[in-house]
Amino acid sequence: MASGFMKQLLFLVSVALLLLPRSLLWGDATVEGRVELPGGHSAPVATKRYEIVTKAGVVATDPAVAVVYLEGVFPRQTNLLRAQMVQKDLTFVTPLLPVQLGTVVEFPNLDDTYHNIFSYSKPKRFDLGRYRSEERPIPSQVFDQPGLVALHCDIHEHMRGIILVLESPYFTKSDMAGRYRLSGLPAGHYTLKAWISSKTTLERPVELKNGATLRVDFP
Amino acid sequence: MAPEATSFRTKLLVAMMLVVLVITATVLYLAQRNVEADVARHLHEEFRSEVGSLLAVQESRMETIAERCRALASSVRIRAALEEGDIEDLYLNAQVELRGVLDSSGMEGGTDQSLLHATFFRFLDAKGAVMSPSSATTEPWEAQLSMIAAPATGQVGYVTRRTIEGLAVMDQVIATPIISTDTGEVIGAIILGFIPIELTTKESAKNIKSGIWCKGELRLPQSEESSSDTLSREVANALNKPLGNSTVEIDGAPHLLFYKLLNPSSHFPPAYEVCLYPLADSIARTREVRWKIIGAGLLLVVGGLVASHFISVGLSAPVTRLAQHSAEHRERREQAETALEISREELLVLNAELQMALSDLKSSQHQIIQQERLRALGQMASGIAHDFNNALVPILGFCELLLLSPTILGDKQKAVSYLETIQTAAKDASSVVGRLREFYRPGKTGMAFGSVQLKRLVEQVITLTTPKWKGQAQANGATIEVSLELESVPSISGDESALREALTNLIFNAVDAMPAGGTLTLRTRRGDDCAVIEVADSGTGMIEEVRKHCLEPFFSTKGEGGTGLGLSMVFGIVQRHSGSLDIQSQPGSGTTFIIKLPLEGVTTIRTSSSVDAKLQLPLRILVVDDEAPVRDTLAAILTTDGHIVVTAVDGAEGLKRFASGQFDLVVTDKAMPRMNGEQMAAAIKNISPLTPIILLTGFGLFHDKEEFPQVDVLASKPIRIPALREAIAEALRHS
Repeated sequence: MASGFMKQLLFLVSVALLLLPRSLLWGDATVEGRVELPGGHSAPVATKRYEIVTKAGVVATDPAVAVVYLEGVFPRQTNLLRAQMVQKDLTFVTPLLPVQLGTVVEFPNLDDTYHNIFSYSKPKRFDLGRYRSEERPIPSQVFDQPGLVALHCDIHEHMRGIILVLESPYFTKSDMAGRYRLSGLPAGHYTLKAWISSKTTLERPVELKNGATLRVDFP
Repeated sequence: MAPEATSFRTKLLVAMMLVVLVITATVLYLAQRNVEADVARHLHEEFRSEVGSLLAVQESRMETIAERCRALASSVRIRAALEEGDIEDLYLNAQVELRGVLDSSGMEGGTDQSLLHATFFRFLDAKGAVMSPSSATTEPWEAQLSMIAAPATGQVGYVTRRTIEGLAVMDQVIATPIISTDTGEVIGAIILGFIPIELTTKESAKNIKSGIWCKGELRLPQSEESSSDTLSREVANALNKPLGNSTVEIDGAPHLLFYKLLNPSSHFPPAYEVCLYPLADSIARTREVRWKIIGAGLLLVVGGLVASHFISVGLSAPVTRLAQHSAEHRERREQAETALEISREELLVLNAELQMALSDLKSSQHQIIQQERLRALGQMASGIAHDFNNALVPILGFCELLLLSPTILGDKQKAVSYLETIQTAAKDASSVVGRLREFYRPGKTGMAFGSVQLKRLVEQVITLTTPKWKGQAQANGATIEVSLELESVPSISGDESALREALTNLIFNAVDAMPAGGTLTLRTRRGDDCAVIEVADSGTGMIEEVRKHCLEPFFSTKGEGGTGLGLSMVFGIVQRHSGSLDIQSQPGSGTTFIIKLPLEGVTTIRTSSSVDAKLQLPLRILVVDDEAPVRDTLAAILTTDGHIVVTAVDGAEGLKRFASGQFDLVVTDKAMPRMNGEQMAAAIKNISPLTPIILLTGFGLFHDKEEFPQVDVLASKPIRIPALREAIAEALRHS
């Protein structure tokens, strides 16, 4: 079957491309710096957990964590991206999950109880219904609209999560102190953005050069 | 019974009736007010209890709703939908959630399920704006639900809603906040609408109207809408008043209005439970009570009348007695007053009698004085005759001498000396006659005041009284020495003959006081502003008692020999001269009479006018006298003064002469044959009223000028030249 062969070939190419050093393929620019986070007075603790809170209609993490990403026009991702929003101990393990547009996010339940993850957010409305850990396949959703998707559990009202659907493949989460590092970036003129909350996204125009590390602090 | 007592009883009755009336009126008023207040209080309590139960029901409903809403708000889906602003999901989820809430039969038994049946529900976002389920068909009344912000606590409000059938319905709405579980903030609110809870009005009071008043609108379930407008206004007015109740007129009937705030401290507009209780019932009750009280009051009035009658009878008995006593007292007093009046009249009569007696006494006294005076005159007559004879002696003697030896007339000095003696004697004779006058005209005015030389007067008097102190004393075998200590004193104004008489009297008294002889001293000297004459004797003197009374009339120490009038006459003369009489006397060593007379200058007009008289222009004078010597003397004197004189022998001729000629003056005698002086004077006055007339009369001393109104001047004969001149001057002054 020609189509079957083609599919296999495409897969192999993709794997090869993935295995290739990034610098060769996409360039090797790096951006690092620090985002001034709200409530910066709290001492940064590396392992400290954070949670999602909504205050006055603004959704953010507490303590604040920034998502720094490069905005620009990039070739569409052809390979299937996957990510997981794991529920364990009646919380989302990574309450803030940035994903690239088109990513399939799985919602594995690692607790012994039911969870019912749903979202009324406009970029993605879904309701996984009640399911237990043994539910197979793992309930998943494709996030094909950029934006913020607020996750709730119908059963556990305190459980909150955010999936930040980004168009860019270049993104990272800062640590609690706001430090970040983005590497393997293509050279060129872009806009570097720092998402802090549903209301606040800071941005900077950047010129990236191969092999160079750019220092960008927000603000 | 006395009229006072009757009037008192009437007054008492009236007063008691008034009291009863006032009490009745007060009781009536108070009772009526009490009834009204009772009704009002009763109704108010009823209202309060009903509203209380209503509020309790409302409270329980609200609590239930709040609880359900809390459950609703805790719904993750609702919250998520709210956070996302996803209205469709919100309402979809809420429908599910609410169905579960309202259909849940977890309520306690007995509670009316319809109470918790929401007619509609709406969400508010965090800003308080209504999140309408379908924005295309947002109902206008939904705007009433919106707030400034989502409330933090449950709120109760009332909204008016139009149903699909177009009816206006008032709903109670309960707003419950939706609170974020993780942040605790209000993220929205849910409002549920319910049929309002109605008062559980009793069947007995079916006319009670109750409803909810909100935003100027009153919703009465039982009332048709048309009357609501006027009612709404009434209620609005009543609500402006601070009291919790008032009376309003609905369809002409008074209603008691109560209201109570249903949603205190709510964000929604205040809504009141309003209850209108018809007062017809209470008015009927009031009227009933009023009639009862009026009846009771009438009974009270009648009873009071009876009681007051008896009381007044009892009370008025002493008053009647009092009135009787008072009447008796008044009678007695009147009697006493009458008696007093009578005695006063008697007193008046007595007084009149006494007055009469007094006047009788006075006239008797006067008569006695007259008699006494006559007696004195009689006694004096012998003395006067003696004096007169004495006076005539030198006149006759010297006249005979001159007639027998006319050659003496050749010796002018001697002749003048003789004539002067004659004149003096004649004057004294005239004066002696004049003395009689004083006995008849004491104190009469018209005394001829002239200038008097006191020294000369004293010398004259001593000469005149020589027969007394020399002749009479010697006849009694006593020797009286006369001592004259005469200083020159200025002339005084006075009646010379009166003063002479006074001095004569004093000298007589002095001689009488020295029966064994002694010294008679006469002094003249000048005092302060006065001339002083002293007559002193060395006789028996007077004891104090005598001295005190010696000037009083009829006081005499001479027994039958004295009249008791001598000194009083002296005193009278001195007084007429504005002088004073002092008596110094020591029994055994004599008496001194001191006469002080004011100096001339006070009454000197006469003297100067007499001088002027001579300077008159020649007058044409008619002299009428039946006695030729007098007529001729007068004519001679007047002609000598330069006047033109025509004479007539009697009144008739005088009148004839007067009519035929021009005369400035008429001098006439009084007593004349054919026509006397007065008659002629009257006739002349008829012809010429302004012609002055002087009437001469030998009786002049016994007449007053006032007795002869037709003449101008009355002069007494024998008249001397100065007196005549003076009379002429006075007559001319008169005309």
